[in-house]
This record gives sequence, C-alpha cells and structure tokens, in this order.
Amino acid sequence: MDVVQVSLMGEVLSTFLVDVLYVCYTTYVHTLDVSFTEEVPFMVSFSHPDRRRHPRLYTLFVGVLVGLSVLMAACGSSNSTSTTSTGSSSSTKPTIAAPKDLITPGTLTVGSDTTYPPQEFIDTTTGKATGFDVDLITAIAQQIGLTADVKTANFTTIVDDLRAKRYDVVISAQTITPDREKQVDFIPYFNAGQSLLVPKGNPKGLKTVTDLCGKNVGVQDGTTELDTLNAANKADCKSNPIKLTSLSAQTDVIQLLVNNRVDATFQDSPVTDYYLKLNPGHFEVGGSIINAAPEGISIRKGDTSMFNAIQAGFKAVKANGTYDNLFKKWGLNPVQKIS
Amino acid sequence: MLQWNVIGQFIFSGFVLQAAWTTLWISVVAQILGVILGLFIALMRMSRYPVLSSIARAYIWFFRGSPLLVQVLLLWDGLPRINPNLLLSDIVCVLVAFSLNEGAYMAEITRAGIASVDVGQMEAAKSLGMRYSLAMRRIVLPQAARVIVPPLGNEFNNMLKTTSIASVIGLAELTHFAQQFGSPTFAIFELLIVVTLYYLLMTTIWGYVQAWIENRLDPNRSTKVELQEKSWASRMLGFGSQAQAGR
Repeated sequence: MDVVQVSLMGEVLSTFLVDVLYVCYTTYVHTLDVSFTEEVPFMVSFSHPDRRRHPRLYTLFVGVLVGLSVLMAACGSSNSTSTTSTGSSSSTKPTIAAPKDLITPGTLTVGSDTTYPPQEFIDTTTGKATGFDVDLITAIAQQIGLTADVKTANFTTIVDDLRAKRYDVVISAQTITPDREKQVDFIPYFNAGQSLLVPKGNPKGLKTVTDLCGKNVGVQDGTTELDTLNAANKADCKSNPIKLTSLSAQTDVIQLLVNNRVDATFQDSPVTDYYLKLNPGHFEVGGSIINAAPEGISIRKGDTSMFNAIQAGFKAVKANGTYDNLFKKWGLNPVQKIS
Repeated sequence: MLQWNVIGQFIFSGFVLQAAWTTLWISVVAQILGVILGLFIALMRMSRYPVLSSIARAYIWFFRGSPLLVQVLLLWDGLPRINPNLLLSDIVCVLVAFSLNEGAYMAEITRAGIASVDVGQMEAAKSLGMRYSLAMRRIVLPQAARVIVPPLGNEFNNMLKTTSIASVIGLAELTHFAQQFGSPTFAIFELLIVVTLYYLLMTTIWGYVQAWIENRLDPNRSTKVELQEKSWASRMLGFGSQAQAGR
C-alpha cells in the first residue's frame, strides 16, 4: 500500500471520525452529567447537550482522534512488511524492454511467502525480506530497469493474489505443476526436490514416502509435498494412511518436529538443508532427494510483456554470473541450477 | 532449548513496537466503526418497519454466523474475483471485515442496552413532545450506555487479540511479526512469548481504562470505592490483603 493511498485513507477516516465525534461526545457528556448530578432528573440534565459546557474535554477528544488519524497516515506506509531492494549497482544500462502495466510504475511488485528460508525469509536485523529468491528477483528487476519491492504473502492464497493483481510477479519456491500452470505462467529458475527432515539418528528409519505409512508427518498447506503425501495415501499407504498435520507456515511445520509432534517433516530440499545447517545435531535428512522438479517465477496469464521481460532478465542474470554467485552466497547445492 | 537472548533481542525492538502499534490502531479504529455501525443496526433491528428490521436481522445473522477468518479471506480473495476493481489493500480489508463483524456483535449488545431502559422513559419523552430520534438520543441511549459499556469493554479486549487473524493476509501486526521473525532462526516460540507480553500489556492497560469508564458511568461510583479500598493484587487476583488505609 503506497503512501498516497494511506494518507488519503487517513484523511477520509479522520474527517469521518470527527463527524462521528459529536454524536459520541454528546452521549458522553450526558453520561458525565448522570454521575455528577445524581439528584437531577435525567430530563433536566439531558436537555442541554452543549459542547460549550465541557470545552476542554471536547478539544482533548477531538485532538486525540485527529492525532490518531494523522499518526495512522504517517505510519501506515510502513505497516506492511516490504523491502525496496536496490541491490548492487550495475553500470550497464538495461537493454530489455520494460514490462507494461505495472502496479506501481518503476517498481516490480513481488509477492513472496517469507517463511521459507533460505529461499525467502525475513532478515531479523533489518526486518526486510531476504534469501536466494529475493536476491534473484532483485537482480532480474535491475536488468529490466526496475526496483524490486518484495511483499510478504500467504502461500495458500498466493496464486489468487497474483491473479487478482496484488503483485506483478510471484517468486516463492513454487514448484511447477500442471494444476498451477492452468492458473499462471511459469519461468523455471531453480531445480528443487522434496526431502524428509527427521530427528537425529533417524529412529524410525524413514527414507522414502512409503516408509511414512502410519507415521505422523508435518507439511505446509498448498505445497507439492502435501500432494505427494495425499497421493501416497490413495495408493501405497491406503491400508495404513500417513497421519498428516498440515499448517500454513513452514516455520510452524518445523516446530512440529522440534516438539516431537511428528516423526518427520516433508519440504523442499533447500529448506531441509537450511534447517539442518542451522541446528546441527538435532536433525538429519531422511533418505535422498525425491521428485526433483523445477520451481518457477509465476506471472499472470496474458501478461506477455511481463513474461518476456522477466525471461530476458533471467537469461541476462545467468549470463553475467550473478546466478552462480547467488548459489554460492546461499550455500545451495549447484545440482539445483537451471541450465 | 529456550533462547532467552532472542527474547531480549526483540522485546524492545522497533519491529515489535511497530507491530504492536499496528495491532492497537487497527483495534481502536475497527472498534469505533463497529460501535457506530452496531448502534444503527440495533435501531434498524428494533424498527417497526419490516424492511429495516429484516435487513438488520440478515446482517447480524451473517456476520455473527460465520467465522471472522473466513470473512477476512472472502474480502481478500473473493471480492477481486467478482470484480477486479474491488481489490482491497490489506489494511482496508482487515478494517472492513473487523468493523462489519464487530458491528453485528455490537448491534446485539446495543439492542440489549436499549431494551433494558424502561419503555416508560420513551413514552414520557414523547409525551413531552420529543421526536423519536431526540428521545432516543437524549433519554434512552444515555441510560442504555451504562448497560452497554461493560460488554463493550469486553468486546474491545477481544478485538485487541482478534487482530491476530490479520496475519493470514500478511498484515504486519503482532502475530504476523512473530511468525515472520521466528522463521529463519527457529525462534518462533521465543517470539510468541514476546508478543504474548505485548498482548497482555495492552489488555491490562485496557482493563484499567474500562474500570475508569465504568466508574464514571456509575451513579453510585461503586468501582471507585473498590479501587480505593482494595490493593492492586487483590483487584487482579480476587483475593489478598487490603490496601493500607489512607492510600
């Protein structure tokens, strides 16, 4: 939400609040009269609803409400977690045709579910979005002469949000699936697989999806991992189904394992690796990476100029070495590169 | 396993203060709008015109009958499907959903308050030549306010905590802050402790404000007597020593 919108809203609200104020105030003064003059019958005390009788209180009340609205307008712009990343300076002028029809001119508004380290998460010292995906889309935006503004989104509704034009593009570790391709267009940028995170020593010996039959497993809503597990419940695990706990944030899913509520969690391989690196000695990877599939930057269907610009930008980022550098920076397995 | 240093790191950080402020102003604005809306819906509900009262009934039926979380998501994802121009921003979406929902509850509370005032009051006012609106404003509502305020305080207390629902659409309030900042370092539990302290702080302060308001509305000033005679601990816990005389 930009500053203009917020201040406009603040203005409208403050006008409205002041209008409403008099009604509230008169009621308030009446009630004050009740408590001050107990012996006076209601009729008498209420027949003088006069703001002049309590001028200071009135001014204070108006002041507080107006002040609140102004503060609202002032603070509103920083209320949603958003990052304006400028990235490293590049001397080369963009040669790629800029996309038409941006939400904010000059800015690439990006949606991302920032609870998925190391691909997208909030840097707790700056409060801004960071991660491999964030760096990548920032570099791509730079190539097409735009500034990336990464907004925090909810993964379950992220496709709808893109289609409703809340964002220009979405980069949120979305695995490309036929179902999703019906809704949006994808530009593959990362080859991720699915892997299991289990307690140290893998006490239940979980290595494959079929090992999970009858076990408690944590998984994030709307992910391809959830689809994989649901498919297993209809096939191999039909007689002894996997007991699923699906939550809307990956963070909470990992917490399930920390608290031993589940025997394993199932997520994209880079996420598994990240948590493993973060908490050595607590977990390990169960088995190997399965179902390797590309993840894509998603773009609204029909937004051709955007699709072409992002695709050209991605090619340029790969050509100038930024793509390789980002793999090194985030410690990602180079097997996962898109060739 | 609890990382105390994370709690220390975040408890007074700018991010949590910003998030707490967002929670606070959203609650206040949504509650104010909800109270105003509730008053008009209550009057419609009590109207003798069947059109008005049935509109109010339908409104209350819908907004009390469906979960707030679903209402927020309907506004967030449903409206733009109907018409792409109805794309509400996160703050507007939350304010609209919360105040509409609160309006339904406040309507019932206000209706109960108005009903608690003896009909004789309205009859007497009318016999003095007051119109309905004037009598309602000067005679009935001020008396109803005494009955309305305690549950209203309850509603606001609830509202402060219900704003956590806004986290599902990515609005940066307290719960969302905990989820986002907990994610990279495993510290979700520590951050939940931080935000719980903030919620408790806000509801505790509101408890005092509410006691003060109720005191001002009460002709017998019983709350004030309680405030003077009982110690802090005995007010909070319901038992304990009496305050020192002359305090």
